[in-house]
Amino acid sequence: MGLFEEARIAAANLSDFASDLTEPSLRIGVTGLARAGKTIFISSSLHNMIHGGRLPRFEAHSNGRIGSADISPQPDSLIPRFRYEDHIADLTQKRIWPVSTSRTSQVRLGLKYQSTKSIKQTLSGGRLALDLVDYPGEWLLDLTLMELDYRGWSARSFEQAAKPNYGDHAIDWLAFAVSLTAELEAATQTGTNEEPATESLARQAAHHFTDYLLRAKKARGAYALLTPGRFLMPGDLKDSPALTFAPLPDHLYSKDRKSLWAMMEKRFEAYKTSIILPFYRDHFARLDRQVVLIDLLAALNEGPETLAELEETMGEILKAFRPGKRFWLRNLVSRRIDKILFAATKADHLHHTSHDRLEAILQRLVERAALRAEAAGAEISCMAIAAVRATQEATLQMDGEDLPSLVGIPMKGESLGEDEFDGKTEFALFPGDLPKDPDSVFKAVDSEFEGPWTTNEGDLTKEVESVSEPQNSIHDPLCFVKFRPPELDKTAEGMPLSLPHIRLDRALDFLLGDSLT
Amino acid sequence: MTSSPSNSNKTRQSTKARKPRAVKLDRSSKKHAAPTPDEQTNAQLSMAPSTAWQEDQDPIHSLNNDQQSPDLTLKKGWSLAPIFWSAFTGLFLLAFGVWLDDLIRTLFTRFEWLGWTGIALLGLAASSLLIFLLREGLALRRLAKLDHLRKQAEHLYEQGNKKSATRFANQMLTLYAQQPSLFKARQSLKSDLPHLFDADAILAQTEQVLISQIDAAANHRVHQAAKRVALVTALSPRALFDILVVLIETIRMVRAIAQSYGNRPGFIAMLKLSGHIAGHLAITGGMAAGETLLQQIVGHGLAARLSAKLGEGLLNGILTARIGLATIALCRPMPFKHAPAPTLGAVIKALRDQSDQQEGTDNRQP
Repeated sequence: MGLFEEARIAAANLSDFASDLTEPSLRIGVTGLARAGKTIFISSSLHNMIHGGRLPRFEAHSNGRIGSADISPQPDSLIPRFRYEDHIADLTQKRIWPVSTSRTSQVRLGLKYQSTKSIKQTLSGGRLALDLVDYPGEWLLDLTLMELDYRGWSARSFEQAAKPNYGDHAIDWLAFAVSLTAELEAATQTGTNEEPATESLARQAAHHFTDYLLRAKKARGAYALLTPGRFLMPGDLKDSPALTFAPLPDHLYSKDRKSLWAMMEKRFEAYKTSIILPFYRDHFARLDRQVVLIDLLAALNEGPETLAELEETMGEILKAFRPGKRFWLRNLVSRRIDKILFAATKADHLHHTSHDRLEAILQRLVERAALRAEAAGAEISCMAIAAVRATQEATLQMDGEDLPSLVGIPMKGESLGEDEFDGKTEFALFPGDLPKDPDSVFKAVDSEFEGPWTTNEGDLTKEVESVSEPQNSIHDPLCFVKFRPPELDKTAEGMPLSLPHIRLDRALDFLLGDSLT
Repeated sequence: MTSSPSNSNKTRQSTKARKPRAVKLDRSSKKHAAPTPDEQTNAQLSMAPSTAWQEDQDPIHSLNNDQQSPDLTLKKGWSLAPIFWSAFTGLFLLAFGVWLDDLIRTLFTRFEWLGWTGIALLGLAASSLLIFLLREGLALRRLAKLDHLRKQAEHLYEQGNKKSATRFANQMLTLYAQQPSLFKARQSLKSDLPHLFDADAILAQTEQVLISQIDAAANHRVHQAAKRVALVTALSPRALFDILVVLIETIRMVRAIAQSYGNRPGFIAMLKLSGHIAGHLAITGGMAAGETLLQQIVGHGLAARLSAKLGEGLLNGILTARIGLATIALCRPMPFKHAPAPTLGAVIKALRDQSDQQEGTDNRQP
């Protein structure tokens, strides 16, 4: 990142500081890959705070120190407002989950509170503006490109496409990449290395590459480190040069300014400066607090490879943040994130007796990122939460076993074993046990990677045996099913009560507690 | 998870066979869901595991089983003293019995109605003694229970799960079910309990919502007693009068505090509690001295320079407050963890304010 960009960020922070003098504000970044539950987290937090929901462990709220919480006018007139009302209507009336986010939006919550400290009471006037930003999770992946140059990114993309999980989807594109070499050679021989020819080649390459990205994304979910993210969700930038490039094989590298490589490189850099940097500058460089939402259960559903991939992706993304202790003088020009909450979302798909294990797996997953942040002086916490609780807990007695299970209405199209769910009938579900040892979920990957190298005839039977061994608990079947939003209890006047949740109050207390003391 | 290793082994083995599965529910009645009857697997469902506190096992017993520290003071070995005292008491009781018997006989020889009156009075005395002993026994049990509850809470903070913590919270609710002023706090705690999932969250909620209200009342009582003692000492003409007032006021305060924490002490329980308080003060005295001795000396010095009597009152008040705070620490069924513990400093400050006020009035009067 250039000095100029740093200066722009500093200027933005300085103006933030100036506006903070009149009304203190706290920017909370709600980060997460696609389908991690960002929109629901924001909606449920807002709804519970505005309507005086049940947040017993959110100290300022439960002690009645927050006098009012209302949505304030939008501070940035160019960013769309988060459609809180629509999302809440979807959740409470239609009982469907809000649709996936396709662009950034922001909401400001104005809090009036009374501090417990007399100094703060006189100084700050008891107001706090809370800024929450929602954005598509795909864009987040782009942050990993900031430190890469075109050559490095090309290498990474090809490396990824060579992985067994992606090979099937990449065949078409890889074939094109090979043919591209021949075509370029033909072009240089005939001497038609002109702009129109390279342009059409570039468009074809981008088309094949985008095709591969879309297919891989569809198959691998949101965990895959498929970059650039804007290719998957182009919006009004579709077909612009900044979105018309593709990785090239390394042997095409040339310093010729007219070559295809140079053109791609230029566009890659344009993508970085005109798409990633503004996104980073306007959202991430100004954050005070950070919530990292991770849909761990879906990754567990997919299996150990996905989990390993998720770990890598999260590690790469978290490198883009600036953790550090809060210090007002430095805050003038460069904000640091002083608290990071790692939250495994959708904890309501699990019985509470397994929440500890989910937290342990989460801790193991973010270990490295957490260490780095803690070394920089930021505070870290890991929690299993559910911003909206869609299930109730029950014990299912079946075949002489007591199964800690969940009662709710599974979404239409979900299935478990032979059962297909229609989205209307209520079911009691036992999703399986999470492994006690969080490492076992990750270890399984290594053993499976070793698999192909050591395969002999005798090993097949061995493998079957090892599956039945208790150490290999990852092979315990797990099946987490998505549920419909809950039916809400109504008050006597017919108003819906607050959205039920799991540990949302603790999450809010961790994020906001010290600002509201 | 509190299960022992062998137990966890067993669950581990059983988890191997636990496959994910689903059972269709039939919500024919409004609230109670049940599996549809045509299900081949005779599955049964119990919703929302009952959170009501059941005395299925003695929590005290199960708690103390593994962590009974060897109490060296109990192992005294053989001694003649108990034999002597039991024999002596036995003799005394026999003599008392003979005397009663003689008395009744003598009464009968005088007039028959006098004898019957004697017997009636004796019966009345005996039955009231019995009831007294019974109540004392109950009070002692309550005192012991508070102690064990505190230990249990500490244990739960370290290794509790939702179930055990909820059980503990329900125990607290039943303990304070009789106090009308806590009705709202009880209601709000009851409605929040099903929405909390961590042991420490449940305990913290219990402490902050329910116990801290009692804390406030108890703390107020300590302040009141300390102020009263300080005032009386400062004004009273005779030392004997001081001592009497301090004694009575202290006893009343201790009783009130114990009562608000759910332990209505009887006579013997009161004696025992006093013993505990003395012990507690002896242990914490060092720490408290380190913390507040400076304040006390400064306070005394300042006050004494102005008026010896006022300073004396201040000191007596501080002593009373210390006893009160020790009582709170002993009677509170949960350790101070999420609610602030009342401090001696606050009481001293209140006392100083009062004495300053008095001083002001004293100065103005002449």
